Order: sequence, then C-alpha cells, then structure tokens
Amino acid sequence: MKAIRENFLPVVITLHGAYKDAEGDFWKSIHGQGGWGTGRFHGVTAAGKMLCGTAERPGCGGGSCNPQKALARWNALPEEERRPGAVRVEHLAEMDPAFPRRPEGSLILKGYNRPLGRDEAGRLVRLKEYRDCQELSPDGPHWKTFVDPEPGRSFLWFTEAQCKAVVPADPQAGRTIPLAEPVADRIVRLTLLNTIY
Amino acid sequence: MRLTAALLALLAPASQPFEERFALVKASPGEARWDEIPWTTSLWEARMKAAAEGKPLFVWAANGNPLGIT
Repeated sequence: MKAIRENFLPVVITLHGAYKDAEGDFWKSIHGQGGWGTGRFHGVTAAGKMLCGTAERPGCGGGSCNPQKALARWNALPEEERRPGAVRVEHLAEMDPAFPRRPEGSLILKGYNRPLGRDEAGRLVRLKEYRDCQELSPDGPHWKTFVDPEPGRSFLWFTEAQCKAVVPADPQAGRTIPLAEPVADRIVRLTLLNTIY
Repeated sequence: MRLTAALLALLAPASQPFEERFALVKASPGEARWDEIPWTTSLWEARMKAAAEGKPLFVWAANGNPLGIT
C-alpha cells in the first residue's frame, strides 16, 4: 500500500468503458498491450508503456503487477523518460458526451453490509466464519467459507430533489421524518446486496 | 451516513446501542486497506499528474468501476 501511495498515481478504470476521446484512445493503447482482466492492476507510464514486460506479462506472473517490480522497472527507465515533464499531457480538449457525469447537486452515499450473528443474549455480533455462494447456484461449486469476512460496499445515488426530501430544511437532532417510498425502497431493498468478501 | 439505523433497530435488542451496532457493520481500521489508497477516477487526470510529477500510473481495472463493484 505504501509503495503505491508514495510512488505511483493510482487510478481506477472500467475495462470496457473506452470512450471516443483522447482518454479513450489512451486506454485502448494500454489495454491493447494485453494482460487486462477484471480485477487486474498494472504499472503504466504516462507515455502509455506498461511496466511489466511483454504481452504475456511475465513480470506479473500472468496476473497483476507486483508494485515493487513495476517500480523497479520504472526506475530502470532512462532518466529522460521519467523526469517530471518528460511527457506533455494537456487537458482534455473534448470529452466524449457519452461519458456519464454526476448530476449537479447529487449526493452519493456509501453503505456497508456485513454478515452478523447473535450471541446467547441475542445481541448482534460479527461472525468469525461466513459461508456463502455469492448469489450463485446453491448447488454449484462456488460455496466458500469467508474467514473474518470484511464488509462489502454499496453506493446510493440521490438526485438533488431526493436529497432535499431526506434532509429537511430545518434538521433537528432527534427528529424523525417519513421517507418518500422510492427513496426508502432503494435504501431498504436495493442496498442490501451481498457484496461480502 | 446512518442509513442502516432503522434496519439495525429492527434486528437487535433495544438494549444494544445503535453506535455499537453501527460499528459492527462498518469497516474497522485494518479492513479494506485498498480503500486507503487515494484512487483517482479519471485516467486522463491521473495521466496529467503522473507526467507533471514524473511518476508512473498504477491502473486498476474491472468490469465496472473497481471502487463500486459488488
């Protein structure tokens, strides 16, 4: 974690979301070098060179980059390729209009879900082990025991109007307000997804 | 945001404080450590910054945004 934080610019991207702009072209040039699959991560230079060898990705063992090895390959590059400003990247002149944008005034809430059990007193407690098939066939081979399961996450997007409906103009501690049914429905039913890992 | 308040109230004895029940669900320190990394969600912005600072990118891809996939 520390190596990534201190030595790289960490960025996330959707595998199949290449758009018709310079960013989409850059992603295509990286993706075309091979080694990408869902969950994979690799070191890449600002010039678009992957830091893990050939298309077969031997430096990654066929999976994702080891950050330390990627950093070593970066440091082995000539100084003129690595120095600040060696690669000029201008602001994106035009962005593909198909790229989804967060609505003005919207709110994104992060939720957590975790399997809980009960102790002898009926109190909620964390589970040491949790067995699940991750919503796949209960008869299939995907049942797995999660030890010390970590919480999964989900995200709720609210429009500006929905935000105002949830938080009144004059909020007061201890006050309760009814939620609009669509909002309550999303919170109660659509947030409770099994995302435990 | 205490979105799970109503749910937890239904699921546990009233004697178990909400704060305690909320803490049971939420990620504890040391969990989801990948979430401690300051991920950028724009490849181009990350590229600009990497070029300006003389650093490599660390690109994490998934079917869907890795920060939000379930």
